[in-house]
Amino acid sequence: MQPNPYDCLIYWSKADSCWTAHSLRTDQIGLGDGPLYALVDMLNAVIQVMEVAKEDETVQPWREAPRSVQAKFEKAEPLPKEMCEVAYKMVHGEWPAYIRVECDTRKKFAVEQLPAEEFAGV
Amino acid sequence: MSQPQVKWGQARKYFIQHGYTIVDKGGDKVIKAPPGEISDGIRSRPTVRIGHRYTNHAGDVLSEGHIAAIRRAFGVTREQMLEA
Repeated sequence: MQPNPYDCLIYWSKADSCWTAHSLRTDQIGLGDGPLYALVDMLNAVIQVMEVAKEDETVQPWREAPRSVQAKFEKAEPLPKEMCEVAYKMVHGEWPAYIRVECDTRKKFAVEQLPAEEFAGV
Repeated sequence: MSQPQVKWGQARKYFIQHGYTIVDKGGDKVIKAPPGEISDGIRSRPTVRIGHRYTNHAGDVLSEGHIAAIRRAFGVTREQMLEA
């Protein structure tokens, strides 16, 4: 079964003073002011890299994230399903920009099994 | 001691000088490694995507997360980009 490129760890980056969403299977990152916005940026990153890979057969979009990220993912709290749904809507332009989603924590979150059928065969 | 910052203009100059391809995706950038030997059916070129917040202007500072991603994907260091 093809890996899911959207599986990711979301965490607060001290180095960048912002949230980071790190794709476990493509090693791409998204950054944002909150965990949801980092996830949205990462989803867009994965979509764009996969588009480039579809256009150019020499491109390898799959690359495992570092083991340290994978290890933290195993211990992270699952991001609430509702927030994943909102992130998906934001990526597809289905969420009004004037409604922001804030998160008052510095916990790490794990995201798994978002729908990713559009990448089958890449 | 904090590390020296790398600006998008410096990184872009390095990538162009060394044969990388920068694909514009609505302001976001996908950087493709230079093409290597062509092997039929084998995908080999790694990529790094950087969002438009960090690549709109030459003076935009790359995040530490992206600098680390560039090092992992391409083996290119901060110092190499600063020397470009």
